[in-house]
Amino acid sequence: MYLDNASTTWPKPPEVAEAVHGFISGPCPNPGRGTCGSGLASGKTILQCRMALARLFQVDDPLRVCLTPGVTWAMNTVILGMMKPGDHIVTGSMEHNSVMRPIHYLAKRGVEYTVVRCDSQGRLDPDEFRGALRRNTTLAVVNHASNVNGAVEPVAEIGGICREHSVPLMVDAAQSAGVMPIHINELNIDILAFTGHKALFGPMATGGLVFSSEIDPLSIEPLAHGGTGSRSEAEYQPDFLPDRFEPGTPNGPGIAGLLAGVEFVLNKGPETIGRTENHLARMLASGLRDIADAEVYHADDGPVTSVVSFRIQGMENALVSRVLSEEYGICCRQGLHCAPCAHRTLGTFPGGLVRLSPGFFNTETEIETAIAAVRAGAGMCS
Amino acid sequence: MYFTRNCDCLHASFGSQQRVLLAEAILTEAGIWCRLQPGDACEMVLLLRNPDWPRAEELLRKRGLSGSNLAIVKTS
Repeated sequence: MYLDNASTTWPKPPEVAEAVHGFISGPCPNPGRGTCGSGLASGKTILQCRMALARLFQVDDPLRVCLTPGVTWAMNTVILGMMKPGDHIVTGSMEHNSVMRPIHYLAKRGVEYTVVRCDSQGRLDPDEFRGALRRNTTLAVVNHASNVNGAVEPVAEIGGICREHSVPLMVDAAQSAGVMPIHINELNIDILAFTGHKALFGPMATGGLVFSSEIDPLSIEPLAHGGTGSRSEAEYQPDFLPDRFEPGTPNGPGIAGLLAGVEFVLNKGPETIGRTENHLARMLASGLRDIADAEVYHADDGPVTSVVSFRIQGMENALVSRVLSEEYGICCRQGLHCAPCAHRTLGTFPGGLVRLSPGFFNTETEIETAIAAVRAGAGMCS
Repeated sequence: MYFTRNCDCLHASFGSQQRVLLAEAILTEAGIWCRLQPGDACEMVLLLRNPDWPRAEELLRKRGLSGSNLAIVKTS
């Protein structure tokens, strides 16, 4: 039973694998490099993916969707490409290491930073966030939804505050894209970073950046430079989108799969997918809370995604995970989830938690089985 | 932007394949005739017909494919 959808979704809709296979097994010249018909077909698949993502995130211009090898690459592009020594960056304490590590890397090189502490449920107080903004604040980065307890941040409010102070806001939508409607203008988001392989159901190593019309992407230095198949006479990176942030041969098969995944999400609707998953997560959290020795972390006192973490008193998380895996065949993820700061916020550092994250294709029966498995596993220690 | 107005058709360059493909999609959706062709550099160019190109240009401008991103590289 697969309950690790916050790591990557599985299964994928069958059409995703079919699209990847179709791209590789058909003639697939390098997109953007050739001028024969099949080369154009490759390029058209990539453009269609861009257009589908633009529709999903409600941006008018699909060229403002830049495809990257994932959300980590996307956020590093913006953080490393915008910040200079003496600049200041603000973020929250529920962030993933894909934000924290580039910030700490830059801190050693003269960039200042503030981490606004979230409350015990992992939520940011917009007023505290406002108080952290300074005259030299160049960028704000906020995690839309936590990969530890599912807490959804008040992004629209924080974005409004950032706009008042002319500070661009980048939102990490790794856990929210595909399960929540994201209209980047309504949410006051300047830059959206997304991954393809979670709730957009695409293959791994897909993702990207979406730039709103409020931000000038040319103010961001590219993370990597190289061939784009365009302006080949110039030995510098093109100054237009999407080429500026897409050097090298694109992940054609992955993008073809991502297109199929995004079309699946558009057909079902992110609201429907999120509602289905949240129903399962509520059921799971409720069942786990009934287990005497279980401590459950699921931020359902407010907006939340389907991430439910827990620990069993007196039982190592690694043992819980091993019992679930070996005795019951349940895939989960124990530990710190690449988010030590989030665990410090929740008071679960350094031991971490065991995370169960239902997906769109899980069933109520599976959730009942998982609850029973945790109860039985907890019983081994009592 | 440069246009030669006394010609039957023209080639428009948009900088890269993704951009020219988007231009083609926009114009096709609007019912404006256009055709992709290999350009002088490695990217594709879009062939437009004279009676259509002013409307095409206006439409593409509205969609952000304008200014330095739309240069006529060759006329015929």
